[in-house]
Amino acid sequence: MNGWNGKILEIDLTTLTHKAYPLDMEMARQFVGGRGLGARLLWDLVGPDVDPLSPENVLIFTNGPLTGTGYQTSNRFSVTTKSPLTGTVLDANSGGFWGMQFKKTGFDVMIVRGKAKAPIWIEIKNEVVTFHDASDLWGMRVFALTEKLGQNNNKRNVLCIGPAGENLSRIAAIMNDRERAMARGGPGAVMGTKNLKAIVVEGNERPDVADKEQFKFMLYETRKLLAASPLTSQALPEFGTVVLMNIMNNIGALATRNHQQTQFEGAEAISGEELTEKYLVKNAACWACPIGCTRISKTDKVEGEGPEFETTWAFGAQCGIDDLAAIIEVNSLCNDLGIDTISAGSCISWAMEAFEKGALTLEDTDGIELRFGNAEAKVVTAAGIRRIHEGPIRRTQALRVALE
Amino acid sequence: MPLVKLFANLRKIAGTKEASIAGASVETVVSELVKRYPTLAENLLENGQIRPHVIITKNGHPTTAKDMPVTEEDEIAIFPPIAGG
Repeated sequence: MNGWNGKILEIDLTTLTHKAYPLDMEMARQFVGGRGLGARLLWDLVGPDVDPLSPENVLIFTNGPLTGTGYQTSNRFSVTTKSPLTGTVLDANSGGFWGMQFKKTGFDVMIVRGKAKAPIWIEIKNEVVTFHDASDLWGMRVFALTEKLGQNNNKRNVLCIGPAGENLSRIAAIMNDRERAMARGGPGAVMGTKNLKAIVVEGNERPDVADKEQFKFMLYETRKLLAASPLTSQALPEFGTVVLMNIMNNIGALATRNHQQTQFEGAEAISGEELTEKYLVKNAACWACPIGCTRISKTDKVEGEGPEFETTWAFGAQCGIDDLAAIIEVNSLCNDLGIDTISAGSCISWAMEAFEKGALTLEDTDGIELRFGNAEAKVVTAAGIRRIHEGPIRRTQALRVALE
Repeated sequence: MPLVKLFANLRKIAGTKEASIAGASVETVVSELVKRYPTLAENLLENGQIRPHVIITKNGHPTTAKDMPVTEEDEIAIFPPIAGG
């Protein structure tokens, strides 16, 4: 079947029913890949009159034809929906294992419609779909929930929202495989408004390819290319994507202090080199990826995946913070709450500039000195995020302005 | 002398983050750098020439011109191929 399973799964949360039907293969060929197919399907399903946070919006999870085939790096998948942040098309994608596992259930696409009356989670084992009550899971953070629902990287994979999605934060992410995020544009809020806490997949279908011998040959050739490239065999495995920090700073392309400057004097302290030297436990990889750019980092307080370059930039240079341990800890907090790190860091940097220019005051910030890179910045950042997503949403006026 | 800064795995290979290296052009600075730190040769040179994928900046401006003049006050940054995000 040329990498495709040829099937769409459609779930209606309002009626708690589901159906499967054939994927239009001509459409799949014309709009190749998860992103293209998702955008094409959204075009038919959601019009300009639909409120992104209404039951009429849909979540479309899509794989591409290569996902799950075993081709190098064939692990990514997409979610497409109407964004509650921008009001237009949202596409977010993620690596990890969930996309591969969803392909193994026998489907290529999952369309989620409607809104459940009460919190639920969905389990898909091969082509069997089961709806479970999620009342006792509502409010759980991502790490604990992922473990509770039985995450097992090669066999059973968990996709979920955290408190940010439940609270309909417009920068809430959909998380998969514990610390992978489909983040920009607020897809987590769309999942939250549907009362859908998690989707767990398990399968043992293996997508077929058109020409097995040629496919094996391409696997072999790609392996050689990746091993020969200094980028994929040295820079990314050794330093992760944060290896970009120093070069972006060197050429004056590192947006700093809410884009007011283009170089950050603390870039070296938050670089990939510094991360590897002081905080790296080991590197890790998404499914079928020989590169292994994922960082497993550890501070006195947390141990987990990341941070990536953009996260380190958003909470680092953009906020004037050169404390890499603080950035690792805030990254972990965002992942656990299910919030987009890039949007969160950028919004906080905006609030910092607003505070420094007098547009926000101590009264607005509950007494927090929201200045770029000040001694309390790491605490401010973490506390601000926690307040917004675990406390009353509108308590911290400064960050409410920034995040809404 | 021009200050040469190394990044990513080039630091581990050379055993240093930076060094003052004599030279009047980008090419001669790199050549002198490799003479002082021979372990860099494989990553920076191919048949005696600077490898095409090596990224070199002079005072923050990327350059591919090997004969680009270099003065005593200039800072030369050398990166291996880098991407990501």
